[in-house]
This record gives sequence, C-alpha cells and structure tokens, in this order.
Amino acid sequence: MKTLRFIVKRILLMIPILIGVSFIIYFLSNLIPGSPVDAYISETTTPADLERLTRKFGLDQPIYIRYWNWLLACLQGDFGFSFRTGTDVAAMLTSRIGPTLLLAFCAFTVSMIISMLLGVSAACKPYSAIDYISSGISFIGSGFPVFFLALVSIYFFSVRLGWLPNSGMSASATSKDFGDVLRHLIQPTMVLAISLSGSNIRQTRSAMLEVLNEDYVRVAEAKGMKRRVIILRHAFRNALIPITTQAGLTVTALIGGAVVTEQIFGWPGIGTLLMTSIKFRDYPTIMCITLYITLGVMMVNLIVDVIYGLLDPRVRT
Amino acid sequence: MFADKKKTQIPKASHWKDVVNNFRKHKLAMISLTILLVEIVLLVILPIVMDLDPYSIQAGEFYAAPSAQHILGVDDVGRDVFSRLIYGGRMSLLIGIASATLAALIGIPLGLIAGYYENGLRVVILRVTDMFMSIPMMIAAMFIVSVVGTSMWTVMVVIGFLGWPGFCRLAYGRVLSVKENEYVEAARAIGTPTLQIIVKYIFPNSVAPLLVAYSMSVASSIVTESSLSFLGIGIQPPQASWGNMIYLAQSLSTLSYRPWLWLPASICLVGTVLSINFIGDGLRDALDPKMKIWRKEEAYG
Repeated sequence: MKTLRFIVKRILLMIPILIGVSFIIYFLSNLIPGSPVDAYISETTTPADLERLTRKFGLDQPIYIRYWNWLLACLQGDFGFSFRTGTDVAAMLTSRIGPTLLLAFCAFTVSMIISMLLGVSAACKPYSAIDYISSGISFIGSGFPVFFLALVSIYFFSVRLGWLPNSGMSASATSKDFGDVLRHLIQPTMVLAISLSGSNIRQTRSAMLEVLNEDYVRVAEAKGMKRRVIILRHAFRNALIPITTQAGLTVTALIGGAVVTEQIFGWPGIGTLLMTSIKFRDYPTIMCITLYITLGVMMVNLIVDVIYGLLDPRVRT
Repeated sequence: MFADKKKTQIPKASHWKDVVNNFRKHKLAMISLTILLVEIVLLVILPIVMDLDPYSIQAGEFYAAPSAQHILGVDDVGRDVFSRLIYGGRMSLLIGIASATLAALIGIPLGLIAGYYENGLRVVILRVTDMFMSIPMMIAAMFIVSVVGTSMWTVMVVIGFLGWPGFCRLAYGRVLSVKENEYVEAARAIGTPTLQIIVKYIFPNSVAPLLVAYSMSVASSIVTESSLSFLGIGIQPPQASWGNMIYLAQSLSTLSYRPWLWLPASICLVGTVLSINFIGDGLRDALDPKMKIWRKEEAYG
C-alpha cells in the first residue's frame, strides 16, 4: 500500500516536468524561421489563400493555444506527418524503436555486469591487479568519447581482423537470422557498454568500499563468516542502493551515447532517424523523438525510484 | 606551563597550502597538469610564431600523405592537417572552458538560492532542474542546434546552458549541509543580510566539490562539442575542431588507409579529456582528505 502511494506520488510529480519539457520543445521549434504555410506557396497563391491556410493550420492563434492543441494530439498518438517522407511520424517511430531498445537494453545489461564484477572485486582487493584493470577500463570508458571507441573498434574488429560487420543490423534488409543480428549487435553493444561502465565501475567500487567499512561487516567477520558470504549477502546487498541510483543516472548517458553509436554503426534505430531528420529539418519527427526519449528517460527514472524503494525501505515514507 | 607554549605552537598552515601539497603528491594529476599546460602554451603560441594556414586549399593535393611541407598531410579538400589540428584544439578548449563556465555561472547561484531559501523559490528551481536533467544532454543539444543553426556561439551556449543542472544540484546539496553549522546560525542571529551569508560563509565552504565538478564539466563539454562536430551538427568546416576532423574517419577508406587525417586529432582529444579528468581526480583527493584515508588504509581484506 505504502509502495503504491509512493509510486502514484512519483507519477504525479512527473506530470509538471513533462508539460515543461514539451512546452520547451514546442516553443523552441516555433523559433524556426519560416512557417509551414511557406511550403504551399506557388505562382498562383494569393495573400487570401495564405491567410486561409494559416487559419486552417491554426497558426493565427496564440502560441499557448497551439501548444495545447499539439499536446492533446500528441497524447492521442497523433504526431502529424513527416516533412521528409510524408508518412505518419508515429508509425515511423514505432518501426525504429525496437532496434534502439534492443541495443540500449543489451548495452545496459552488459555494462551493469562488467561494472558489478569489476567494481566489487576491485573494492575487495584494493591496489591489486584487478583493481588496476578495473580503473583502467573505467578511465577508458569515461575519458574516451563514444565515437572514438567506436572508430577504434571498427578499425580493429572490422577492418584489420574482419571478424565483425561494421554497419547495419543484418546482412540484408530482409534477413531476420538471429545469429546474423547478434553478430551485428556485438560491436555497438560493447562500445556503448564500455563507455557507460566508466562511471559505473567507479561508483560500484566506492559504494562497496564504503559498505565494507560498516560495523555489521566487521561483526560478520568477527563471527567467522565466510568471506564470500560476507561480501555477497551482507555487503553487496547494501551497496546495491547507491549502485541503483548510479544506474538510473546513466540512462540519460545511455540514450545520448546510443544516438552516436547508432549513427556510426548504421544501426536502424531512433538515433539514426533523429540524425536524418535533423539533416532534412524534419521538425515533426524531431519533436516527437525528443518528447518520446524524455518520456522514456523519465519512466526509467521512475522504475529506478521504485526499485530503490524496494531495496531501501527507509525512502518509502 | 607557560614555557611549554613555544613547543606546542602549531606551524602556520593554510588550507590551500595543504591542498597544493596534496595535489603535488598525486603523480598522475601532476603529469596531466604538465601536459595540459604545455598543450595550452603550444595552442596559443604556435599560430603566432609559425605560418599556419588551416583554411586555404592546396589545389590537387587532397588526401596527400604527410611530407616535409605538410607534416601531418593534407585533408579531403586540400587543407593542411597540422594547422587544423592547432586551430581545432583552440576551438575545442575554448568551447570546453566557456561552456563549463557558463554552466557554473547559471547553476551555482541557483543552487545556492534553492538551498538557502525554504520557500516556493526552492520548489520551482528544483523542479526546473529535474526537468533539465530528464532530457539527455546529447538529444537536447541536437534538437536545439537543429533549430537555431550551427555556429561556434550556438554550440558553446547550448552546451553551457544544458550543463547547469549538475552544478545546481551539487551547490544545493552543499548548502543544505553547510547551513546546519553553528557559524551560519550565529551570522543569522546577529542580523547578517542573507546575500552576505550566502556569499561569505556558504559559498566558500562549498568551493571544493564545485571546483572538481568544474574541471569535469570542462572535459565533458569538450566531449559533447566533439561529438556534435563528429556527427556533422557542431562546428562546421571550414572552421576546424577536433570533432569535425575525426568526422572524416566515418569513411571506411579514410579509417583504414589515411590515419593522418583522424589519428592526430583523436590522440589530442583523448589526451586532453583524460588529462582534465586526472586533474579533477587529483583535485578531489587534494581537497577532500577523507577520500585519502580510505584509499590508503581502510582497505578490506
């Protein structure tokens, strides 16, 4: 019951934020010089025609009314038509969301596995070889831009060694062979995962170190418990709280990194769609993607908060 | 009893002297600082003492390999890569520093205000911060740049404008913990104006983490700028930036056979970002003695 109230409260808090973000998006895209009506100008259009069109599109109304209409339409899943392809933006987005979710999910999972394994073992044995390896990977992840990691990866694994394909999601547009998709998935996933692990490893390590200094760990030690049990059952479970927070924070970085990674590896996701839309100044699509990504990030933050509440009963009140 | 006074006298020490001494012990940070300083000096001086021309096009020489005349070769349209490397470095560092400064100038005052006042103002500032934090930086930057167009100034302002929530949150958190101290209460009790309390007592006690955050912010701004330029929506040619030099490596043949076009810029970019990160780490250790203790002694097992 308490958890439920906590979740409802968090959802209610999301609403003003979402309204604010959507207003910023709408307001900014209104700053674009020119009006959608300009596209209809031909030799035969008269000023009266233009005025009629302006009224038809509702462009004569003040910005807050236009914003409200746009928001209502968006909430009903109607994002208008793409300037570039003329197709329904929502439909275009739906076809692209799968690959992005696949990539983001794999990268996130791999990154969590890497950073928990390395972070925990580094914290248990500071100044050992594993600690230096993990801080090395952490520095590569946080210091090297994603695109540089991607280029180095392509250079070695696609160009020099020829082990992995460097572009696309499958060998041909029609094939849906699982092994083929997996081969295409490895490079972008690893690049994105290592990039995310940069801060994750460090946070996991320091969270674990902090917990290992707690009195209850010393008590467990004094009682003669096995090291493995102390680390996994007593220390790690408590370290999970800061680790979850950190994981939630990396989601924004994950989305940003995914756009760059998708672009370099030609992955047919939201990121490549966004880049193409920006190049063609296809504003309905750009607005829709930005809004959806924000919504997605907020949903993930909500999930993280709920998990946080489950892990740490103290925050539920 | 009075004779003892001389012996127990504590040597004069200042906090910042300690910080400098601590920082000096951090080898990686000192090496990084040296590299960065040398780099800045080179970036400032080389265009003055050498005849560098990053813009003019050498007809018929595009993609030429490094030679005596062009020590790092020539790029895809025939511009000298070395000159572009230097001018690109100026651009990247300038944007990194300017954006981080802008972000700090917006975020820190807002965070201090939100932390000090316990009224509606705090709620508004914190909600707006939440709002900005829930939009991924790259996506927002891409969106804004696509709307207002790309130029050095827009890239700089956009990155700075999107970077402030981090500073705001940090300053806010610091104020909350500093505010509980007795000296703040005492200052309030004798009727010190609020603004003076914030500027004179709260801000100086929050400088350490903010300084670390600032150095990290310079590094991340450089990364964002180069990422945007790499994607072709940041600094536009003919203006040079490390990001738009590496952009050429998106072509597989350049990536495989013409390393002089992208490798120097990549090495400089990564080196600079890593150096700034290491300096930030060194600062963190030097400013916060608590971190040092667990690093050295309180290790487990």
